[in-house]
Amino acid sequence: MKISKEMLKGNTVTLLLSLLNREPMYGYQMTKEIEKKSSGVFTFKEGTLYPILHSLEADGMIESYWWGNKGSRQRKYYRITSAGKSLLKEKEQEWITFRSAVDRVITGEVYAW
Amino acid sequence: MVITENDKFQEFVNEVCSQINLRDAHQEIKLELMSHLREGCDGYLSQGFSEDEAVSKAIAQMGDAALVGNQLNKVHKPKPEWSILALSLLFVSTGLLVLYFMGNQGLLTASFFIKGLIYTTLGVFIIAGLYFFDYRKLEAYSKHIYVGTILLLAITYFTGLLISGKHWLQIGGVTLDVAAISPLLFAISLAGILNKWDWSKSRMLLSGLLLCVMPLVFILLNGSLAAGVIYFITCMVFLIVSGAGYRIVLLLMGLTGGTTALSIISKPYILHRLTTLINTHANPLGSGHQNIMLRNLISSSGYYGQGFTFDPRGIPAAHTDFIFAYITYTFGWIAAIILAVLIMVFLIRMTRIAVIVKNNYARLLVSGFAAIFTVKFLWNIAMNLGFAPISRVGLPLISYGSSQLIINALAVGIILSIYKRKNLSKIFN
Repeated sequence: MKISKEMLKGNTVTLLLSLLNREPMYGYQMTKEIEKKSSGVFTFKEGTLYPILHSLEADGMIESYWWGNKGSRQRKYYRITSAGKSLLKEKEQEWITFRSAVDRVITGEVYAW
Repeated sequence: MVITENDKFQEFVNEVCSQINLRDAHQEIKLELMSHLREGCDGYLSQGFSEDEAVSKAIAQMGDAALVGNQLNKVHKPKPEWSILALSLLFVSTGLLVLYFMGNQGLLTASFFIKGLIYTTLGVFIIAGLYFFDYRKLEAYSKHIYVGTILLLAITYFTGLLISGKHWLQIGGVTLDVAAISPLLFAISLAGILNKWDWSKSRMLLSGLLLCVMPLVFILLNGSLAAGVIYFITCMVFLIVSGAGYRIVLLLMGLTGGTTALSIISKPYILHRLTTLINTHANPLGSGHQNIMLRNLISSSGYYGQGFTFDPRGIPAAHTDFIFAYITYTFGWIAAIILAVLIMVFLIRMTRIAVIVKNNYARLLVSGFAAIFTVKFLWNIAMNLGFAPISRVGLPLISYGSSQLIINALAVGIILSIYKRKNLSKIFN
């Protein structure tokens, strides 16, 4: 089943931060990881990842570094900062509250029917 | 990889970048997207697609180039450091205004105001020009600037004019205090040289320390203890920021301490100047005289100042090193405190940039500049209040002085250039 774009859009920051909270990653790796972890539910145009990563970096939530030998493949890795970790905690809490509220409304409707 | 595939990728990244106004960001974004495209292409190849298919699939997977470019442009919109720009302009205008008032009072001839106006205009052009210049291009010239400054100091020492123990360089009709502007030039060059310096290797450690001590020797040879102190503190900051560790910092302290002691032994008047400060009242007619004059002047200023009644006797050159005393006396304590607070804000903003900037070279540059400005501002104000050794240390951007104004404008311009590009990392070759 395809998920609406708007729904994914509101949560990309949370998804990216939680990925980076485990280990530093580069852009391509992150898109593949999200696809795999969500069993293919989350697919998006990969180019749109970079504006989000760059703005998270400008806000100091993540930081980047280049890694790899010169000449061979160089990759730009991102890692989470301490500010990013506290933002992630907030976002997770927000998601839990949102999810349980949606659940309650949905199941309530079922009973009312 | 076949060239035609690269061309298609190139086309995509070029279209993305055509949307991004900050040109200096292009290179890194292109590299990042290019590496993503190659990775994606390899993925499709391993799934058994033909090369042509893999390339177009990888590009299609990225989405609309113009859209991505547009979003990236919003993130990389340059934001000027308004507070540093505004404060620098305020400081140079204050300097000009004081020259104007002094001219009206008959303390200076009118030509000083005209000259001040010319240098200030030049300084503003330098600041504006450097804002648009990508400071990262400067790093490649670090060694040249280092050697050039050493040579300039050596020429000044051997051929320069000797006035009261200090060497001055004469070019055409201009007398230049090379030692006074050298700490900033060394800061620019050492930031590039010591960037990513490996202090753990003993050979690197030795040559690093030598590179730090050599300028000090040349500065002290030219008889400028103040510039030596400023340079020394900048060096300490560089060592700490470049991750040398406290042992190496202590080692450098020992080395420079020895160098300074040697220079003081060879030039006893420096020692004399220091001891008079500690015991100013012992000989009010000797070198402590100026300190006492300053303290009297400041204590008679009052909250609102004495108006245009400044008496130049006892305080020569009030438009250069003693401009703070003039401002305090003429406009009062409140004005002086406001000026000091603005200076503090200027220094704090500058230090903040050193903390937030991404590029390591930029961090070294800004911390070096911040160290120099901090020492100069604090020393000059303390000296004007009669609490620091009287030395040729002007109030940056405010005091009259051609070479000082130009060199300080250079530093402010580079800082603005760094802030504009604070999210960019190094240049790739």
